[in-house]
Amino acid sequence: MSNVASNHFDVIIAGAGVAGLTSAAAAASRGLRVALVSSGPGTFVFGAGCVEIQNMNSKTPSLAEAIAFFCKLTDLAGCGFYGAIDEHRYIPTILGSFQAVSLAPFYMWNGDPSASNEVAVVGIKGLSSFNSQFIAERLATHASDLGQSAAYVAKEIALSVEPGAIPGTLRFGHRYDREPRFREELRNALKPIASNVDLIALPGILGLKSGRKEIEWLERELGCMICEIPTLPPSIPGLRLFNRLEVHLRKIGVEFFLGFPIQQLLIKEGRCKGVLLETPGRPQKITSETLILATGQFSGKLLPTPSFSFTTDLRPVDSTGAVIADNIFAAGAILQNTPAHAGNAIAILTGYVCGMAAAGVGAQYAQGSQG
Amino acid sequence: MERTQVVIIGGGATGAGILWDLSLRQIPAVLLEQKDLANGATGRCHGLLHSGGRYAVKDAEAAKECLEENKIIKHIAPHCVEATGGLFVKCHQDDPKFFDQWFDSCKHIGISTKRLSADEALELEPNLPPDIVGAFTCPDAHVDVFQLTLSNIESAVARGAKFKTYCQVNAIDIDHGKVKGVRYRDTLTGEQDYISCDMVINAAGGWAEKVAQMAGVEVPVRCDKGTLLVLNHRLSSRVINRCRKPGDADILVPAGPVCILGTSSITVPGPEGLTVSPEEIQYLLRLGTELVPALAEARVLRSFSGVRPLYAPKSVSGAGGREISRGFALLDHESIENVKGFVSIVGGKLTTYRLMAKAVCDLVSKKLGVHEPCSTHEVLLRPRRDKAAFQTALLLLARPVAEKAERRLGANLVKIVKAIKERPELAEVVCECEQVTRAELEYVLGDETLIPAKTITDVGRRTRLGFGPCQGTFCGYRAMLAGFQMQRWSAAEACAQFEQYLDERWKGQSWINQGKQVEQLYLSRDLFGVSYNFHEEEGR
Repeated sequence: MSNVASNHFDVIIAGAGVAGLTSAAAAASRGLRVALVSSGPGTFVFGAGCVEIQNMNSKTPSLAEAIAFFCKLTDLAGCGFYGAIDEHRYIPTILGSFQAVSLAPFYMWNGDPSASNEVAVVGIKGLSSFNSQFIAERLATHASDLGQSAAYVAKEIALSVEPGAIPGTLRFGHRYDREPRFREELRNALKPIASNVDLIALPGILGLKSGRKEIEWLERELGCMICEIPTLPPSIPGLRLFNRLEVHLRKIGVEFFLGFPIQQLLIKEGRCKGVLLETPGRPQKITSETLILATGQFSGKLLPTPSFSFTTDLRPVDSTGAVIADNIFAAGAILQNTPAHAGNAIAILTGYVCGMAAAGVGAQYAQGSQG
Repeated sequence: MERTQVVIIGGGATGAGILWDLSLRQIPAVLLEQKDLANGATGRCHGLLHSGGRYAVKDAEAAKECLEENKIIKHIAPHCVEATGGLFVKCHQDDPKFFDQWFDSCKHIGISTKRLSADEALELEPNLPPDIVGAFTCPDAHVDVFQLTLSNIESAVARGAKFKTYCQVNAIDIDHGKVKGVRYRDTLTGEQDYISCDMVINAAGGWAEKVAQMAGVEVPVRCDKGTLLVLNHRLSSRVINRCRKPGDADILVPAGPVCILGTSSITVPGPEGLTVSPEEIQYLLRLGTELVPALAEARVLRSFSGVRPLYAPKSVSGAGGREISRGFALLDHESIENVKGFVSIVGGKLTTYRLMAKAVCDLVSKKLGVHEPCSTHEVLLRPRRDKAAFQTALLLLARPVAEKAERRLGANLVKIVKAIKERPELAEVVCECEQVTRAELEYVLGDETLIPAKTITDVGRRTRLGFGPCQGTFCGYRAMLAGFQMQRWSAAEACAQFEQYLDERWKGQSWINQGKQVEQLYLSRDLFGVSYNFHEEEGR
């Protein structure tokens, strides 16, 4: 092979959501040369990517395997998810309610009201879209509805802000990544609160790139658990998950083509040769043996037929039931109108199955995998 | 027990206009509105200040009224009007006879108009179809219906009048054939109350029939539903009318940063529980696209429906919505049914709200023996702008933010300027689409304003917060927190407020089944409906 990377891949994955990223990891883990193309990160970055497996049959083929793969993947990426198929945890939201999840990243996992007795919800002066008083009051009500006795108090800390800047989660997140002094300032501000509680719930600001080491440092220094609450977008925990997975996938050889929408799928005689990317100047063509379409709920227009559906082995078919291209697989929200709380579970499952199918270990995974 | 001379039922433009007119004649009055101001037909129309062109051919009388009122409103409420001007466009498939007839009628009525060639019209409005035959100009304009209603109320309150929102009338007390008072319920607190009065004016629009029944009289109202679509850009700079016999989806009104296409015309049983089908939206878009092809690519933000409360006495009950006169009827129930002190005003349209108010108030004055003539055609609805406050605002806020705030607040701009000076963090823009500052949000939620907002939707009607593409997903949450911080709502109440607000915003978007707005709606639902387990019944 020459040193100049060619534009031909074993598999192209279209879409950088939970499904696309999982399938990229699965395909790469089987030694495939993978290209991941996307106009931008998937919609999970607006939240935190938590996974709810309620309403899914836990015996669904490959589900346990896919979930284990995803937990391992996130762990290697430094943003490990905890949980299991049949687990139910409750994590706090900015509405002061509890979201039921089966899997959540470690920096949110401790928010469950059964995990602590004394919780401080900590707001930051000037961060106007996060009101600790409001959240603490609501969480107390909801925790007691759940039969939990955790007590919630509201606190506020002040953090230094550059002159003229308006405090925002994005700015705090960047500073947490870049400035050791900011991390120390945050620690010092939280320290007096930490001595009286066993959990601090704070708005998601602990870095856009930070991993387990950087976040656990703060927990260790404070001597209490931390749980981030994702704010209105931009949500730092969501962006962090994307960034960490991207770095990890690049490390294991996945090539990213980010920021360019797909102009066209190159489908000819029942086979997809590759995609045309809308790059500046002229479209860039990249080709592959297999294409995994994980472009989300609103991306049906990419397929050449106005109406389409998917077979149980995740292939797109037209209205007559004929396979549109025999080397296209589909994963994630494009498959169906899934409600969001089952969305990520299906994305992990189908993403994993498609990635494996691309590596030729498809059949036994793909059968009946849609749950 | 509260005592006044006149109770007005209905807080639309007409009711508000009546309150203002009475206050100028120094007649004490209280207005009762079951929800928020401008919640009915007033807040659910195009916001078109008619020049009369629309009615020129069919109803010269109505056209003349519109023309006259168009001039008056531009004079008394310049802050509510954007004098966009309008075009009547002739498409190639339209009847050429109507075009000439229209021109002759306008000339006869006195509507100033100029004939434009197709090229001239396209130069002014490049989004028109390239194959139009020609167009006429007219003095149509956009009027901010919320501001207009609020300004009438605000001016009246400044002169001692009173109003109560979220107060639903449940009985009209009549003794020996004479009105004695009105019983009502505060729907937010559940408390019952009574106002004693000499006269009751029924200005309840679509609810007028129901109100009349409380007084034991009949006021036949035909509710004619009109559905409108809000598009996320101004696709035209002028009001675009199709120059043909009035029909569906043939008016496009630029309204602030958006434009509004409408309407349909469907008879419905009553003013509540209106629904829209995706087919109706497709139908409106298809027709609208004939007039402005760019609509096909435009993003529909939401749809909304209102009812035209048309006066429909039995003699014309067979006619469809557009056949019934758009004129109004003033019913003196003393002379008709011998109920003394009860008057109804029904029908009409937004453009003639002031004229309707004048007609009612002339009658009421006469009955009360007041000789003060109407002066609403000459008294400005609010003092001219406060230039010094605006100059200071420019130092504190970006120009577009300051300009929008000034347009909405007028002389009250000085209050938010003062607040920002004291607490600079109030300069934060909480609604990016409509450029609403935290200072303005706190002002409309606070006690200093004459017309406090009681719900997040009220905040929208005061400030336009949540009217842009995010449809309240971000700014609505911020408004909820503001209400909580200001102790207007407890945490639980704030949550309930937000839930109610989002439901209403989602409803307006849910009928739209295509394009970017669907993604926006899903984002909103993902954020609050599911991820955050917003609705308690979906689990906790």
